[in-house]
Amino acid sequence: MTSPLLEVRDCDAFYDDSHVLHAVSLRVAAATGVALLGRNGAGKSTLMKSILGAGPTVRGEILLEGRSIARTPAYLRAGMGLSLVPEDRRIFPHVTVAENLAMARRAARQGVEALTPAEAAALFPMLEGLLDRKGYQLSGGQQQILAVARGLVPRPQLLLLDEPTEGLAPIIVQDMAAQMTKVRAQSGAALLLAEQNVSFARHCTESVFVIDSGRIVFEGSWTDFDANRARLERFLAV
Amino acid sequence: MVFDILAVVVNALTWAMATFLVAAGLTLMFGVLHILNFAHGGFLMLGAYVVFAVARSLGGELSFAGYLAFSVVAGLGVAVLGLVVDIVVFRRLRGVDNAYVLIATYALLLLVEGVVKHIWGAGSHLVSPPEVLIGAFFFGPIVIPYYSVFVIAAGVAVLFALEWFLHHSSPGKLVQAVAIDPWMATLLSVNVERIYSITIVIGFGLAGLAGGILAANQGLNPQLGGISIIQAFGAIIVGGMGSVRGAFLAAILLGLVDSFGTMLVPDFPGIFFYVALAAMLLVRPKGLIGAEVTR
Ligand SMILES: Nc1ncnc2c1ncn2[C@@H]1O[C@H](COP(=O)(O)OP(=O)(O)O)[C@@H](O)[C@H]1O
Ligand SMILES: [Mg+2]
Repeated sequence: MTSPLLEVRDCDAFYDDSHVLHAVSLRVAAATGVALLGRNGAGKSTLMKSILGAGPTVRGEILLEGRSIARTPAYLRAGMGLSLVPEDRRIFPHVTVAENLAMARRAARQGVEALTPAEAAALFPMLEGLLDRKGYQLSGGQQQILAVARGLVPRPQLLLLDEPTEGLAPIIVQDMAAQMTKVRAQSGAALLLAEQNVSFARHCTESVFVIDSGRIVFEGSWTDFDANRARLERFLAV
Repeated sequence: MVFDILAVVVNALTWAMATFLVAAGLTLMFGVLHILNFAHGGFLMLGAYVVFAVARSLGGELSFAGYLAFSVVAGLGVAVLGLVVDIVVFRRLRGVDNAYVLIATYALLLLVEGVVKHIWGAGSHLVSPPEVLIGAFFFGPIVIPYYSVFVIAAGVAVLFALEWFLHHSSPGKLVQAVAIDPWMATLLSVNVERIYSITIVIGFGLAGLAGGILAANQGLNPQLGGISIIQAFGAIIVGGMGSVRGAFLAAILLGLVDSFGTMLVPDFPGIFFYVALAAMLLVRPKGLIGAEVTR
């Protein structure tokens, strides 16, 4: 069997003294979509940051295409095809949309031609005509879409999206679901999606992990998930 | 009266650009690393002493080109020292409490002062300006020393060079991105540690260069490091900590207030700098250019 694109093996994560993730294991195969569901504070963001090595202290093994990256600095992991779109978007306010997109080109892997700002913006109708706008002039929804587009610029092997629908109007969430399907089909990137919005996650992915208090409490297909829905309900957002 | 005012303006601008030359590297480093380097004046002094030492060894006087060239050499030398200081000191100060930063950089200032005393002695030295900078333009009763024009031109040149670097060059854009959000920059595959080192090298280089340019402006003595930085602190506080443009504008503002104040109340020279500083902080506690870094 070939190794999965990403494997998190038995990882613990800490912020100083507080122990947040407990023996978390997770796999994402190439070009697949995996949802990570869990309530506020369950540890979704911590797991995403642990995979990039950007924040929490991590103990355990993290493998990318079978090779350990657990001791690789975050900026190098970001250049290995792992692209994290953080939950707070982190658009640079002082430069234009085009420059925000262009800045991510440097994260493309060796031999991979990054998307141009125009190409990335063209993936999302909401960004049309905004390339010359400054970051601080965008609405929250526009910033979120821009953050996702920026995540796609380096043509990642794995896109890690941290709660992209949080705070967005339902109509924009619908749009984004449709765009994500299209973009994944085009780019062949795998997706790890942290979400509380179950229907959005279902639309974008093929399998599910549920995390609670820093422990994985379920893993399986969406069919398995539905079969266990009664048991899982208490781990999901109310 | 009009001529008096023009003379005061020239005076103010000279003071302002000398202050900005000191402040530029200081505010850049603060904007990116959030380290307020008390030793900045010490490294500036080192740059000045380098030019002094070169001039002395070449027989006392430098040509204008030589003076400029050795100011640049002083900048480069101090920039290399910056790399050493980064590795030995600043890397240990990332993310620690400000009190430690203050103590560490103050200790560094004392160290530089000690080195200067050891090499060049505790007494004063003079660097004579290059011959072409001695003298002045005379417009009727107004006298504009060539050296003033040189300092003003140097200040403006440093402003434009830094602005171009930060806003139009690709490493400069990365420096700005790191100043604003180092974590996100990391996720875009920016080696933040490297950007920090580059910033420190540039900041120190600016200190050394300023030291060279200003060397002939005043007598050199080992206390210069501590003294030269007070006015620069004023400019970067008023300008908005971390803002290069802000420091430039603030230096001009403080220079004008101080010069006009001294013209009107000659009994208290220099006091208007502090009055203006206090007044500005009451009106705009965050400085002229908000809290936005390196803009
Ligand atoms: N920077 C931090 N320092 C300390 N504790 C943190 C930090 N970030 C998150 N936590 C804690 O870690 C736990 C998991 O948080 P997080 O991963 O953000 O959850 P989620 O993304 O699922 O909402 C929470 O208890 C949270 O309070
Ligand atoms: Mg979260």
